[in-house]
Amino acid sequence: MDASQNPLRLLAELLSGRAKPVINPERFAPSATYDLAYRMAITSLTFRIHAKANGENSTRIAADRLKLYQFLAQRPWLVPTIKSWAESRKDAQLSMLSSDRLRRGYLGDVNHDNVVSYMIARGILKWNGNFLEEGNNSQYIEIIYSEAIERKLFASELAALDSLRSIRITNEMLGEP
Amino acid sequence: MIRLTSIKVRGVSAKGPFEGEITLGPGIQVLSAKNAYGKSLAAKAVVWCFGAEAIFGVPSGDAGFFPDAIREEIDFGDERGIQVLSSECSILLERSDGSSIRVTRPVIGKTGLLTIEEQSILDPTIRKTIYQNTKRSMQDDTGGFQSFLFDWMGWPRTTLATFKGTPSELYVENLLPTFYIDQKEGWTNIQALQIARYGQLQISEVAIEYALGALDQVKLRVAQQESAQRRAALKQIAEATAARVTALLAARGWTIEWSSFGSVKDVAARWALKGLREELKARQNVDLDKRTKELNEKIGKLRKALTSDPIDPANVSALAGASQRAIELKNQRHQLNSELNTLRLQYTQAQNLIGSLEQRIQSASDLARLKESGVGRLDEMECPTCHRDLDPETFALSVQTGAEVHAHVAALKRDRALMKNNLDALASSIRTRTSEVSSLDEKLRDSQRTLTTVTDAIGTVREQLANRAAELSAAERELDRVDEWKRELAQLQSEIDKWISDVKLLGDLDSGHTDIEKRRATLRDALAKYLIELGHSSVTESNVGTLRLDEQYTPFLGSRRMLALGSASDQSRLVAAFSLALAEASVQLGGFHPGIVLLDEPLQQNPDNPHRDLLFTALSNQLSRNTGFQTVIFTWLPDSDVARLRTAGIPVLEAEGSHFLRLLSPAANRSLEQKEGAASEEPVSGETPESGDSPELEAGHGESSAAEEPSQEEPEAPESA
Repeated sequence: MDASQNPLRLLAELLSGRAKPVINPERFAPSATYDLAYRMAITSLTFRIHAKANGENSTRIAADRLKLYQFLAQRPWLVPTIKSWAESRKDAQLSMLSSDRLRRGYLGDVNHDNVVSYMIARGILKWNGNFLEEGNNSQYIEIIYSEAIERKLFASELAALDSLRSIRITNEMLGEP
Repeated sequence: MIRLTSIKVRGVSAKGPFEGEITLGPGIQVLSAKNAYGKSLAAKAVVWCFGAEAIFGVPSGDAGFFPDAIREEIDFGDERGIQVLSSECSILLERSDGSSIRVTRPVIGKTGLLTIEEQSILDPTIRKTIYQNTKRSMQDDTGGFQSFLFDWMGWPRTTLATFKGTPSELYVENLLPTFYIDQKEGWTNIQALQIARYGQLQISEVAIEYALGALDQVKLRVAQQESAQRRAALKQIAEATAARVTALLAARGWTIEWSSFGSVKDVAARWALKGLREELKARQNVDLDKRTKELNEKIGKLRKALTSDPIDPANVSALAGASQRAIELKNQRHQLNSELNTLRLQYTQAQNLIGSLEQRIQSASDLARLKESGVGRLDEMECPTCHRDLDPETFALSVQTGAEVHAHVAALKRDRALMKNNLDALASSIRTRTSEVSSLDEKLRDSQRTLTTVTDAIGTVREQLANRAAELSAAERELDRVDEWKRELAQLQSEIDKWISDVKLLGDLDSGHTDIEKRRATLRDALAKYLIELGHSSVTESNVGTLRLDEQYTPFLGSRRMLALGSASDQSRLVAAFSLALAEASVQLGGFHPGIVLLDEPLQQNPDNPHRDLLFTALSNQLSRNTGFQTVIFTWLPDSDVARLRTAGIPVLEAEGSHFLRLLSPAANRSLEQKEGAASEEPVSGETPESGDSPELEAGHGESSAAEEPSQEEPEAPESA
């Protein structure tokens, strides 16, 4: 096999000659998806929009629901998929076909679990059974939400979160028994 | 050249008529009056009577830039807030041959109408005519004021190119910023008040060239602008043609390079190298003439085979052959459809990927904004149990810097650009494959028709005949298609050829030589002289040789723009020097400058004593010797400066009273009414126009408390009236 048919060999020949590798530093910049500020902002927006009143002075949301919603907020192109999954849930076979990959994706979002742990440590959220409630420092959530609305930040994420209001997500879909 | 001999403002208030007049002489003169005397009002009256109020950013006929004193309420001494019922401005212009016109324009009422009282040196009869100063009054040869003014001045009309592509002309409003320097904005830049409300291109340069008498250069400039516009239009046509060529060829399954990249001349050179048919032959091995010849030969043979060639009754291959051809074509179509489906899938995925990239770019940009705003930034926090800092890394989380987020956005944008290129390539491939499928479908239909015909025939002889007939029919249809392609290509080729010839014509439109360099040099020399006279701090006898004017008439000293040199007050010195130099150069070159320079408050720009001295020295030396044009300076001078200028022979008009508008006495009022009554009964009269060689500042004819009040004000920096 000559070099033209073997990419590795071709690369080796190029590197051994006069070819110089070019490194673009921006290629090493990590995605914003892994940034703590971004993740906390999206989690806060999700909580602010979808948490429900629990008594007079507190709001809460199921931890799994928060995990799914913030996952979808960061990937608005998946909203139609979840919608079709929600609509087809009566058909068990169709439901399985359309949901598996999505379910695997959001359940494996370990980064979110770390973000929630961090927010609990900061007192922004707190556990209440399987639910997450506002913590002592929950004003952070309101600040982020007001800033996002006022400065028109994270518009696509907010739009996705808003569209999720009209989709009925059952506990079964969240992977709960 | 003309001379401004009088500026007059008058009107009627609730207390009676009021009036004020300034009479001006030739050469340089200074109107010295204190703040709020109405100097700027008088200067603006000139602009109003030239119908050039648009330079103040107001619509035609809007007198809103005038002070309230002549529009709404006027003060006469202690009597304040007297309602103004009507008012008007007039100027008297005298031509070098002795003919004159008085231009009168109402400030309240029908502001679009200007009354011209014209008097010729040969015929002392005053001819009174009313003109309109509506928008585009230059185009109205009979009733348009601008048209009349150019005609009376003896100024040639010019056709200018505009942004819209429609022709326009040079108006007085475009020339005015070269000789009227407004108190507020005029000193900020050369031609600071220049406007192009008709969309004239490079109007600042045209105004200067017109004043210098460089009409050939103006014509050449306009030709170059039109040529540039034509080039832009041709470029658009080229882009549309290239798109049509690509679409037409892609529809036949052919891909050739027929782009419209580069300048119009580059594209023309490229397109002229090879025609469409030659390019098709070279790149795609498609030779339509050869194909036509082959098809004609085939048709001839098939006709012969059908009509005269012997038929072998034992030959049974006709049916099998027709069937085999149909099967092969179906296989090809299946393969092509399969490729097409893959391409469409890839296209959809690429579209989704671009959508996702767009969203990620937006999110990352928003994150960068959030970080820059500092909102939601968390303070250092200590764990209450272990007393360690609450570090995100403890939670396997990372915090990115603003620079990292921006770098990520840049990388995403590059990915998006690559994906867009990919999407374009996929779209092109889909078009090509679709056309191939379409072409194959036609062949398949022919083949199936042949198969049906042969199948329906009974016996080997009839099968062979049917096969030949079907082949003949298919060949003839293909020949028709090839002829159709040739016609389409010929049509496109003729459009391309015409486009190339249009580009060739373009080359001759904008070339030519003028004497502009000589005229520019005259202006440069005059500017150098005035800059030194006025004491520009950056210009000295040793470096003045490096002074030059670029193509836009922007003054440079060496390699630096003069506007960026010197102190803040040097900027106003540059403006004054340029205005005066242009007038002087115009006199030398026989250009079309009106011969008037109005400088409103130049001393306001030079408040300190050394700079005042420089100005007075300049007034006493160079400017006083110049008699080629009229210069009027509106300012305020203390008695010592007045005496100094008068000693140097510079006429100084000193104001009396606190405002040049005064209430007329009842006797003067009656006299005025009688005079006006007589004038209105006999509009064409032998009235002699008011003019005088010596400047005079008149304050109406009657007594006025305002006029008699001695001024107690101390000298101070003047302000706008």
